[in-house]
Amino acid sequence: MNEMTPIERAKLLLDKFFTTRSTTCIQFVGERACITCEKRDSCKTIEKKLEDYGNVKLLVAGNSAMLSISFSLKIDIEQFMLEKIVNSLERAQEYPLMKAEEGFDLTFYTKYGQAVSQEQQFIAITKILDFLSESPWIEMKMLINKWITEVIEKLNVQIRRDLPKVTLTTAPKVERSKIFAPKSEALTEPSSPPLKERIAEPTTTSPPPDFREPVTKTEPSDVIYQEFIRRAKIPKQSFFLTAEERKNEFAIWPPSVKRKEFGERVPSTIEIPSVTEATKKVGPEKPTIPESYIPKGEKFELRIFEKKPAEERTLSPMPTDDPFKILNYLEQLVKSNYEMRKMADLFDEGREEIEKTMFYTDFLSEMSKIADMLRKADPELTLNKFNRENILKKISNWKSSPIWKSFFRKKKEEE
Amino acid sequence: MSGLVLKKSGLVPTTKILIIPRWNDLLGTTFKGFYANRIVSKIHLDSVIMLSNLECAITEKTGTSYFLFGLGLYFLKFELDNGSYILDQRELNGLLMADFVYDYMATAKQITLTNDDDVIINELAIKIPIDLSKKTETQQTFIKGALMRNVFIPYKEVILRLLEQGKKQDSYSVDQTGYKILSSHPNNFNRILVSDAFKTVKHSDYIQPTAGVSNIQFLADKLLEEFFSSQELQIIKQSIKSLKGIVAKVKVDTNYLFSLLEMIRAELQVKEVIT
Repeated sequence: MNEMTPIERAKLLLDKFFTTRSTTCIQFVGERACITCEKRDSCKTIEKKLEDYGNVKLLVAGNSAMLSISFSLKIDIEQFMLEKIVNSLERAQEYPLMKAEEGFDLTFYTKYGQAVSQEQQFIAITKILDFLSESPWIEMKMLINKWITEVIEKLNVQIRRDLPKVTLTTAPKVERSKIFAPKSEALTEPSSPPLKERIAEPTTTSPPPDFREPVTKTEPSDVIYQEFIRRAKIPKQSFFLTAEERKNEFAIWPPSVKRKEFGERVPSTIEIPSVTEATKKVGPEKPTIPESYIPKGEKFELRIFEKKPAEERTLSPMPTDDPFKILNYLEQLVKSNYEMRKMADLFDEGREEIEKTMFYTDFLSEMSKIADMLRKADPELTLNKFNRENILKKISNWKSSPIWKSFFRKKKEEE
Repeated sequence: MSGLVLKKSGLVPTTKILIIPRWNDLLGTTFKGFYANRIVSKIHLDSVIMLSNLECAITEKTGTSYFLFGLGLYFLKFELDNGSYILDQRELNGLLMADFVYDYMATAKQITLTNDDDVIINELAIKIPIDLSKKTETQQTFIKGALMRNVFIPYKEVILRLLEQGKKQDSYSVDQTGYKILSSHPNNFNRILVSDAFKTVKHSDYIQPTAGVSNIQFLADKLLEEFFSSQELQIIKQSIKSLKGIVAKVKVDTNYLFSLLEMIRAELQVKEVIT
C-alpha cells in the first residue's frame, strides 16, 4: 500500500484541528491564544493534543490549534512559489494561516471564537489543500517556460532590428526541371544517405559523441498546455511494472519535441499538383534560352518556302476581251518570277475584266483572295514554290470549270 | 555503465502483450516518411505490437526511460504519392519509451475494462498480461469478451503478422543481427535504433526508410552499452531467444486469438518447470 501523502494526512487531521474550546485563563488577562503561551506546557487547565508525523504536525492547545505541513518539493522554484502563495494567503487575513512553523512550509491556525466561522475555515483549508494536491507546479513551470520563450523571441526581434540593413538581391533563376524533380528533398527530414555511403562511413565518424542528438525546438501551443494540465490530474494506468514508482508524477511533453495539436487533422494526402496545374503555377512561358546557346549553323529553310528575289521584266499587256486568255495570261505570270505585289494588281485587273465579260463565274472571289495575299507579301520578292504550286492548281481548276462550255458555245454562235 | 544513469530498476520479468494501434498518434508526429524514394502520402495503419518478457526503467538527469524487450513488430499500411498501396513491417526486439510518452499513453481515455488494473484498453495503447489465471472465472469471461471485441478482431492482422514473423526460422535472431529498438527517447525520437550488424549489405532491406519513423540509426549497441552491463545484455538476449522459441512452437487458432494467451502461458509454465 502506498504511503499517505502529507496533504492526505493533513485532511484526516482536520477534525481534530477544530476541537478548540473556550478557556478561562487564570494566569493572563484577556483572550490569549494558548498555543502561543509560554506557560502552555505547564498549564493544567487546558487540554493538549500533539500528533507529529514528521511532515505533518498537529498541535491543539486549549482555545487554539496549529496544523503544520512540510512538502518535499524537489526544486528551488517550487519552494519559492509555495512561499509566495503562502505569504499572499497569510496577508489576505481571511484565511486561517499563520507564519509557517520552523521546519514546515505551511501552518494553519485557528482559535476559538474567531470572527470567521469554523465552517468557513474548514472550507478554506480544504480548498487550499486540494489546490496544492493538484500539482500546480506543472502549470507554473509551463507558464515560466512560455514566458522564457517570449522573452527570447523579444530579444531576437530587438537584435534583428539593430542589425545593419541588408539589401535584397534578385533570386537566382531556377531551372524548370529543378522545380519539380527533387520535391522529395524538401521533405527529407531524415534523408538517410544511400546504403553504400552508410557502410563506408558509418555512425562512428558522423554521429555525435553521445547518442543524444538535439531535436528541433518548438514551443507547444496553449491548447497542448491545457491538455497536459488536464492529463496531469488524471490517475495513471499501469502499463509497466517499472513505472509504478512514478505513479504520482507526470512528465510534461518537452517543448523540444514537437507534437501536433489535439484534434488537429493532418491532411490525409499530400497535394501534388497535376502537370497542368504545375504549369499554370510556373507560368505558361517557356524558359528562354540565351541566344549564345543556340548553335549557329547555316540558316535552314525548306526549299518550297524559300524566298526568292523577283526578276525585273516588262510584261506584255493583259488581254481584255477573252476571260480564258486572261486566265492563261495570269497562269504564265505566276509561272514567271515576277514581283508578288505587282502580280496582285494584275490579278485584280484580270478579275475586273472577267467580271465585265462573264455573267456568272465561280472563281472571282478566289482571285480576289489571291490578290490580297500577294499584296501583303514583302516587296521585291517573288512567289515561293509552295504558293506558286497552290495558285497554279487553283487557276487550272478555274480553267476546267464547266462554265467555259457554255461560254465557248455562246462565243461560237456570236462568231 | 554510464554515469548518466541516476537510477535503474533492474530487469523485471513480466510477460505481456503491448499494442500501440497508432504509433504516430501516440507520438503526435505529422511526418509520414518515405518509402522506396517516394513520398508517403497517407498512413492507414502504423501499429506497434510487442510480446515482451522483460522491462526496465532507467532514470537519467533528463527523465526516465522505459525499455521493453521481447518480440515486436512495427506494421504499416500506407499509400505513396503515386497511389500505390503498400504493406510493410519492421521486426523489433525492443521498445524505448520516454517518460513523457509513457505518461501521455497512461493517461489516455480508457475504452473498456475501466475497473481492471491489469488489462488496459485505452485510446492509445493496449496492455494484455499473458497470465490471467489469477482472475476469477467471471472476470476472465468478461475480459475475454472485451479483448475479442476490442483487440483480437480489430488488430487480428497485426497479431497474426507477429506470430507469422515469429515462426520464421531466421527471425528475431538477436545473436546475428543484434537489437532493433523503436525509440521515443527525446534524443532519438521516432527512430528505429539498430545494432552495427545492420551495416552489412545482407541486412540492407531492413534499414531502408519506411513510413512513419523518422529514420533508422546504428545506435542500438551504443545505447544499450550505456545503460546495461554485458551480463544484463546476455539476459536480455536469452529472454528474446526464449520468447522466440515459444512463439515458433505455439499453434494458435486464428479464429480464436484468445488461445494465443493460453498457449503462451502454457509454454511459459513448461519452461519454468524445466528450468
